[in-house]
Amino acid sequence: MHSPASYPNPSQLVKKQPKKIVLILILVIMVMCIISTVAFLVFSYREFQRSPKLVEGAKVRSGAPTLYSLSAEQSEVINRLGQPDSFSIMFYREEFDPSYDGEVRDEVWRYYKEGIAYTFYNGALTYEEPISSPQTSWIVPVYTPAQFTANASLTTILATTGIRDYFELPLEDELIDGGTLYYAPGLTFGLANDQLIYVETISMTESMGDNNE
Amino acid sequence: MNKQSKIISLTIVLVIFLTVLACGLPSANSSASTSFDNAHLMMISSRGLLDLYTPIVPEGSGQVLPSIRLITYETSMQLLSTLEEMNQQKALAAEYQRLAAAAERSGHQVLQETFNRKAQACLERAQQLEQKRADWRRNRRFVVVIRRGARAFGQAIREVLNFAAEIAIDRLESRIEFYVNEIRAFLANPIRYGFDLALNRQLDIIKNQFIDRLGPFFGQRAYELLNINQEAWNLEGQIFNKPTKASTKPTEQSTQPTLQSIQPTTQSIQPTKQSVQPTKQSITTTVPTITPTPIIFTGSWHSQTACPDNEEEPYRWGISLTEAQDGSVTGTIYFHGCPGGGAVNYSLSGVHVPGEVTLTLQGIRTGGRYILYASSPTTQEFIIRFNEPPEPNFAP
Repeated sequence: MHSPASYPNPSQLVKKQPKKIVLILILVIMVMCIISTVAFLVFSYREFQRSPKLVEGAKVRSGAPTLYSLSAEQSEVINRLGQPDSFSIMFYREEFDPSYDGEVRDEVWRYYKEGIAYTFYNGALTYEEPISSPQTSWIVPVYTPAQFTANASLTTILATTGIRDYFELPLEDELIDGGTLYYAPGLTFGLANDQLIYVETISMTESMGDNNE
Repeated sequence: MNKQSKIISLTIVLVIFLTVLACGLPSANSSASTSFDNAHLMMISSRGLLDLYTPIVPEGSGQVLPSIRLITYETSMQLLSTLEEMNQQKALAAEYQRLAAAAERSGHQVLQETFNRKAQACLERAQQLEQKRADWRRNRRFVVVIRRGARAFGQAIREVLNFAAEIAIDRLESRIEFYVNEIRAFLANPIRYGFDLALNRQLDIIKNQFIDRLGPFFGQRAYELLNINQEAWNLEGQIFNKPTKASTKPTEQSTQPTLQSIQPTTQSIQPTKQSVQPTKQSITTTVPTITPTPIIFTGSWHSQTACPDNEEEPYRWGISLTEAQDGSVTGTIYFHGCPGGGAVNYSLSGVHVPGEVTLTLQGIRTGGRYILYASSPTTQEFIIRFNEPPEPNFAP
């Protein structure tokens, strides 16, 4: 049998409990504040990452630029007509050809003076079609198709082309997962997860001012 | 631990778990597009933003599409992104249908079916996006209800929120305007852009030479005192901004006002042509009077083969040198892999040993373009003989 002194005093318990609850409440509020702050910071950083950016004077480690080796047919066209006045290249994995399941370099080279466009599939000339309404005047591009290789990263592209200023426009994940579009002087290109999948020169004519001014 | 504190602890753990889940995990609705789809969607998006790709135009609207127009961002762009995406899916579906029709014409049954399936998938995706937009509109209405409640919370809070929102929108608008102007500037005049890059490089070289000769402190001060960069940029502004009256083709300017921004560039090239011209004359007059020794390496010479379409590098290679009285030689050399092979420029420096007919000069690459620029070294030693091709010759 216990002596009366060994039992806890009920009045002391009643006094201690409110203090404990207040402490726990303060703790909960503090934790909530910390979580909210962290969530806000993470959200802000993500929004910053996904927002359009203008990059000026990008610094790129200088190294040997990676160039695409032109095929014999492409070299023949260049020897005959020079570098194309405009071109677009797409990189993807073949999914229609039952006999081939590899990477594809799909190119269209346009020659405005000659009014002709060449389509190359992995360097092989597949189409040669006239341009319906060729430009009468245009600014010669400062880029060549050989400067762009499949799956090139942004750093590689900047190193190869000498681009230092560009506009970066991240696309929505629903559209292209990890896709980002870039606009540089006379050039637009798109990367998915830092791998080049599309590049095209922006053809400029000297009479374009009437649209803007 | 009593029951109350257990519940509170569990709540905290749940909140942390949900927060981590919301912040850290990737989105579940990842796209099922193939790399072929992605490449084409990227093309459509890029051309769409530049208004180069034909967007979905309501039939019979009679809208005439402009040939080329630069990016015009609006603040509502984010709100309209799903609409744009939906239009892109519809455009892609139309593209696949066109390809299917082409495949049908050429008798490729398998390709036709594949393209038709792709078109169907795109249309389904567009329908999903339409549904998403409907959801978004419904959610937006829900947000409006909440906003009304928040407004009722107090006039002061509303004013603060409005004030903050206005600042944010103002900043966003001004930032977008800045982006658009920057892009427009880059895209509108790539010649100026290239010129600016070359000028920057030249100024860097000059500054580095000062620093090499005078040390980091005095070199920097000398460069700043001489105001070279300011003068250079003033000159650049005069070339590109101020159209001079001394135009050789005033009628062209009046008929083609849009050429004004490019016209000064040709004027800027004109003086360099003039500066080249006397040296050409000096060659033609001095060549017969050259004596074997002593040779003074002052003058300009170039290859026989000309590159007629280029005014800056009119030949396959060209050398321009000046020899000082103490024998130090400076100058420039260019190689032009015309047609279409690019160009590279070097700045040269070295010393002429009296009596020697060959000259060894150190070259530092100062500019260029395309493949020749990409494939040439940044520094190169050149062996020069008067009126003869350089060694090595990058554009023989």
